[in-house]
Amino acid sequence: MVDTSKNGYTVVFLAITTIVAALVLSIASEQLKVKQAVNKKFDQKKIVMKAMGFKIDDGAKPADIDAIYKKSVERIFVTPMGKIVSVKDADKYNFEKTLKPVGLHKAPVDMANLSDAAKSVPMPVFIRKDEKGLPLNYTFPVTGKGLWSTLYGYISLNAKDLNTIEGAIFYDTGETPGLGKEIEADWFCKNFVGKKILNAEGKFVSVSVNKGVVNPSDKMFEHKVDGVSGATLTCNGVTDLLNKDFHLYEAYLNSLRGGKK
Amino acid sequence: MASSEMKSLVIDPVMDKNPVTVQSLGICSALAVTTQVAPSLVMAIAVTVVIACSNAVISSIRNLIPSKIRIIVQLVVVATMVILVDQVLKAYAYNVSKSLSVFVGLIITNCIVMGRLEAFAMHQPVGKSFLDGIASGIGYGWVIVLVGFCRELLGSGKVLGVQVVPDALYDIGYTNNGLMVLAPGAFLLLGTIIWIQRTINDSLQEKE
Repeated sequence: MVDTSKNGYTVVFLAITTIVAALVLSIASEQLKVKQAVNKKFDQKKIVMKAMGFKIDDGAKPADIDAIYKKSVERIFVTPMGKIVSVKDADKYNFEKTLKPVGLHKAPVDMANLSDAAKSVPMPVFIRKDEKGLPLNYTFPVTGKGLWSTLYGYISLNAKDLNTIEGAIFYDTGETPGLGKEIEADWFCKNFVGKKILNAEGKFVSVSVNKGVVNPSDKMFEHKVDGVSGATLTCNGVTDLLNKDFHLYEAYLNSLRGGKK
Repeated sequence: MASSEMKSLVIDPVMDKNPVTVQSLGICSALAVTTQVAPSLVMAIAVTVVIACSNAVISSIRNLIPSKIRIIVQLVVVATMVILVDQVLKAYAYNVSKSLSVFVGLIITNCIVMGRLEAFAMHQPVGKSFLDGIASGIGYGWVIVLVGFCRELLGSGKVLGVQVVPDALYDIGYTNNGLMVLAPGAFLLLGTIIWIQRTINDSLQEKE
C-alpha cells in the first residue's frame, strides 16, 4: 500500500490525474469536432433564414432547410466601398474574425478614414429571392460589443425600398440571462420589423434602441425600438453596432438604390 | 450483497432519501431547466450519467487519492464528465444543448454530485457506487421531470412541445398560468411534491 500522505505523492498523483483528464477531453473534442461544426453551420443557416422571414420549425430536417436555402437564398460579398467581390473558399470564410484585425469589430468606426485593409474587407450579403429570382430582401450580419460579450445578429432590409427592416435576429450573445440576453427574445427582435433606417428626406438615421417603450407620438418613432429594462448597456451596444454596420453596408445599399442620397 | 441492502441502495435515493425533496440538494437547476419537459428529461439523463460515472471513477481510485486533496480530485473528475456530456450534447442534440445553455456546465456545482462522491463513493466499491449514482440521478430526475411536466402543461398548455389543452377550452376563457413559466412556479410545485411525500411517509417529518 502506498503512503498517500506524502507531499511528493500528492503532486505526482494530481499531475497524473490532470494529464489523464486533459487527454480524455482532447480526444473527445477532436472526435466530435466535425459533427459540432456541421451543427453550428446548419444552425447559422437557420438563423439567417429566420431573419429573412422564413418560418422555420426547430425540428426541421437539415435536408429540407438546405433545399429551401439553395433555391431561394443567394450569398454575395461586398466591401465597405460598395464593390462586389468574390471570396475563395467562401464556406470557410469567417467574417466575424476578419473584422477585428482591421478595426471594424466595434463601434465607433470612422468611415471617412478607413484603412486600405478595412476598405477591402469582404462582407456577406444574403439575398432572398422569389420564384422569379427577383430579390425580396437583403440580409446582412451585424456585430459589436454588448455589456459582457460580443453581440451577433442579422438584419434584413426590404429589397424594394432598402429602407424598411423586414426582420432582425440576435443570437449567441453572452449577456445576462433575463436582462441583456432578452435581446435574443422574439418580442425584441420583432420590435424591429417595419422600422426605417432612412428619414423622410432619404437621409440615413439608423435605428436606435429606446430606453423603455417608444411613444407612438415620438417624432423618431419609425427609427426607435422598445428597449429592455435593466439592460441599458446591452441596448446601447445594439444601437452602436447597428449604426456601425449600416454605415459599412451603406455604400452597397446606396448603389442598389441607384446612387441617389 | 444482501437483497435488502441492494434494495435500500437503489430505492432510498429515489424515495426516502431523495436528493431534491428530502435533502434539498440541486434545487437551483430544478428551478432553472424545468419550464418544459424535454430539457428536464435531458438534464435528468445528463446528471445521472455524470453522477454514475464520477462515482465509479472516484470509487475505483478511492484508496489512491490523498485525503488532503480529495475534493480537488473529485472536482477534476466531475468537471471532466460534465465537459464530456456537454460536448456530446453539442454534437448529437444541438437544439437541446442550446436550450440548456449554461446549465449543463453548472452540473459541476450541483451539490448532489459532490455529495454522493464524498458520502458514498469514497468508501464503497465500484459496482455499488455506480448503482448509487444511477439511483441518485433517477431520484433527481423524476422530480425535475414531474415539475417540468406540470409547468409545461399549466404554463404553456403543452407536453413535450405538443399542445394538449384543446383550443375549445381556450375559447371559453381558459388561460395559461403565467406563474408556471417563471421560477416561483417551480418553487410552489416543488413544495407541493415535498408536502405530499411527507404526508405519505410520516418518518420524513421533523419531530417537534
